[in-house]
Amino acid sequence: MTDHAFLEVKDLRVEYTSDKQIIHAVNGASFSLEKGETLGLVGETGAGKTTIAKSILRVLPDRAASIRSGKILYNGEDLLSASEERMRSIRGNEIAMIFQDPMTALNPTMTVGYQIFEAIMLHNTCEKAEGKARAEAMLEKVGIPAVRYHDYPHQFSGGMKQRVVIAMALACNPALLLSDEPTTALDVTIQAQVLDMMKDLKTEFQTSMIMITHDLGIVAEVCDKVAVCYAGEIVEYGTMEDIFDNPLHPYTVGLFHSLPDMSGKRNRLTPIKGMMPDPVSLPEGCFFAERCPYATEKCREIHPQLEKADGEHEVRCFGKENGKHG
Amino acid sequence: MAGYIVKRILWLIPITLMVIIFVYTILFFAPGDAARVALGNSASEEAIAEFNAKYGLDLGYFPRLFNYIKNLLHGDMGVSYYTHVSVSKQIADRLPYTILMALLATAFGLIVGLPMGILAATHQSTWIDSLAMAVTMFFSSMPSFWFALILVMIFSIHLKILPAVGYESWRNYIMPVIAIGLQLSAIVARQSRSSMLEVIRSDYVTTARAKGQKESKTITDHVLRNSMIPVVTITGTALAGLMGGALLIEQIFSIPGLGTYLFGGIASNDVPVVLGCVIVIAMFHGFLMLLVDLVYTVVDPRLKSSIIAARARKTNNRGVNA
Amino acid sequence: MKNEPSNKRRSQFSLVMRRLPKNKGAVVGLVIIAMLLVIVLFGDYLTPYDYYHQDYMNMFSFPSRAHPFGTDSFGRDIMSRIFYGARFSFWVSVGSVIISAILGGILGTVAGYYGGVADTIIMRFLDVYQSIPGLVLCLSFSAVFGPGTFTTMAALGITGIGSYARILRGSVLQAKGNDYVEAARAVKASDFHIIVRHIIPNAISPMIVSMTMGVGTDIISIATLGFVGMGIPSHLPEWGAMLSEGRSYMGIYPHLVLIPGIFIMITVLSFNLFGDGLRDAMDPRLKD
Repeated sequence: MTDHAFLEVKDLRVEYTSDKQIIHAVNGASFSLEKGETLGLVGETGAGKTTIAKSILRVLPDRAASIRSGKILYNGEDLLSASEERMRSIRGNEIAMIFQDPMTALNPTMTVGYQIFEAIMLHNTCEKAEGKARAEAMLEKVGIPAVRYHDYPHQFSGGMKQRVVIAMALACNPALLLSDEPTTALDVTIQAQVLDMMKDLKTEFQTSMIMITHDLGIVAEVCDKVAVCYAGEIVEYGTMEDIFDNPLHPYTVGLFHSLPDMSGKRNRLTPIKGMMPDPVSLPEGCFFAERCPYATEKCREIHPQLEKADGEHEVRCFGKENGKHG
Repeated sequence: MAGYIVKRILWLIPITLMVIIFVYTILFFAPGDAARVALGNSASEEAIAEFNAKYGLDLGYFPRLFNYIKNLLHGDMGVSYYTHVSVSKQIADRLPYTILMALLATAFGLIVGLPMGILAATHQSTWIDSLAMAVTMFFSSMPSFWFALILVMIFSIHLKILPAVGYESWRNYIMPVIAIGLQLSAIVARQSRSSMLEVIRSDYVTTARAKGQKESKTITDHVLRNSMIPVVTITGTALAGLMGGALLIEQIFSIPGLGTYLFGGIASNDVPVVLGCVIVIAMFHGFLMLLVDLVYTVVDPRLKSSIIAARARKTNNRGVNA
Repeated sequence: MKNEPSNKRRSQFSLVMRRLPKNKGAVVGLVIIAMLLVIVLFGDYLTPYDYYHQDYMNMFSFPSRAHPFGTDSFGRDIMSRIFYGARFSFWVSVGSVIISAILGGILGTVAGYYGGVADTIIMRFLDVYQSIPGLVLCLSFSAVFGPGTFTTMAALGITGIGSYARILRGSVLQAKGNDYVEAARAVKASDFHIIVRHIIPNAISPMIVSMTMGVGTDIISIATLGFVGMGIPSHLPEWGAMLSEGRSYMGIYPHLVLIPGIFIMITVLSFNLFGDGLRDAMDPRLKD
């Protein structure tokens, strides 16, 4: 066993440029992932979760986005300084990604089978017939009859399309799977099916996974570790139990309070007041200070660092020095 | 699929018929006495009456229209008032030149325009993009007949390397084809750039990259095919739109195509010539649009299945009714 | 609620006003159009000659101080003729575009709003109409109407209705599906009221872009008509007609062909640049 983690993201900073404005999408995000684990990347829309995932694969739009600094260590190798050729051999092969919207993630003018076949042939030196057979096997694996190999995406329902996307991502048996809200665009009934299937396949293929979601229910169901993302940085990191049983950051606490409680102890939802800070001009102090009920003068002036609370549990808040919040 | 094509071809018949009626009506009310123009001012009244009787010009609106359509069904488009030569034969002799020019100009437009649009899109916001867009804007603002004259001035008069008029050698076609094709290429370049930019931003292109596909293959396999769909239509409609200008170009270079014939006919109010040419051009236009639709269904699988689905629905309905 | 459409229009207008100056092409286009307008309105005062004044001592002179653009085969000052011709090209093209937009707009609105048989008839008519090349159609109308400023304007205007009809029909169909139109129908607003208040405002942006570009296209068409000797009365200087006259001498006196052509091109270019900029500025999908 080597001393470095399977995947380690260190101080990642990503900016988008639009009309001479700089949008600070990711601001020093750091987290790590061990082999076989599933990490939940949780946060609201615009927190930079998708950008982090796309940075790992380096598939951000060239013109608009730029990775300012940071390291993404995959088995000790920095992906941000790897050659484009090396990245191509990693993409889809060792690290694959499932996109949020299956309606737009598939090429409308290619058969679904071919799109899976394409992924297989890119990373394997096998005969075309074998590639096709493997693509058909992948379709079967995600519950789609192999006869539908020659059908086009528009002939499938949303849930079926997402199955195709998953088949495509798993086609080369990747070591790491980045799932960007894979069930958000689907009907509730289909969500459960797709999620169950993903869990089974993950076990079968022994894939590590980063599950991007804003749904704490999904986190509870599939994740081992959780990183809570806010305004482009990780505000709290820990095991699933740490986060669910002992949330430390006021934002994490707020997330739980804005969920309906099935046990019926609470009968009112308490949404987090206010909005995420404008990524064009971020505040100097803690990014959450504006919305935080416990914010002090210090919080507004000094930006807190991610610090160890206990064990693997880390939190970016001065509050823990002052004792646990609400 | 075959049924759809047959239906579309049959649809050309009423379109052509309406074009005939439409153009016939316009020309019927056009001022100018064909007999006077044909025979000269000194012609006697008897000669004019004889001329009118010979060509059926003494009849009214409907009998003349009826006669024309009846003859047309036998492939007879009448004879020119002036040269007395069969219009059908003239058109048959001239059409190959026009079609050749149209094909060459389309090829030129695509060969120059597509790479330019692709290059501009893949190098968005760089000097390549700005240059390509400036050049295409420039060319699409130029009257093609003026551009043709400039070409003649440079290559025939000053450099003396290309013939200004004639139709025997392939060298005669270089300037006319460039004059028409360059405008087409400007339109093709702009359209292919904008539709490529739209496709490049789409999720499935990111999917292809995330699969590990090479950038060049991503462009050829995923971006091009999808962005070519609107380019196909625009090429078709642009070519149809440039037809008028192309006909004028023929006249400038004295190429004995349909254009030279048509402009001569319009200038001298030679009704059978004008009608014949316009009918053929309208049918050409119809076939062009049909071709566009067919290419469409080949490129875009969504359309093919929607046609098949529509037919299936129809057959089902019929089944229920019966 | 009642003010909503006008507010929307005002914000659209201010959006365009904010974006347009950022578009270099549009600004260049607008400056050239402004300069052209000066020539159109005050051209007579800008040159010391009349466009018809013949000076047989100075035939075919190349551009000089006395004649910045030179003189033609009759010794007439080309600059004066170009300036006079600008007037013709400008007013006829603007007039013809307005005719096209109004006639096409009515056809499209009727087709889209009433649908059914009216729609079928109008659309099939347009299929036929647009299968005849515009230039040929225009030449035929021109032949029927005879030469002259207004007849040329009418011929061009009638020729161009197709695209406007299609734009308006599309906008109407889109707008008809909107809730506020349903609401207006539910309170029994008259068709005329619905069309004027709710549908036309939504169709206005593509119409404006199309009309701007249309002016450019029609300037080329006018020049083409002039080039083949139709449209305007032959004694008036028109850019296309000047090209056609100069063509015979272009080997020795290229300025006779170059100058009118450059003017046509720059004018068309300015309208295209401005129209292109307007389209970008009006595109709601683009963020600033």
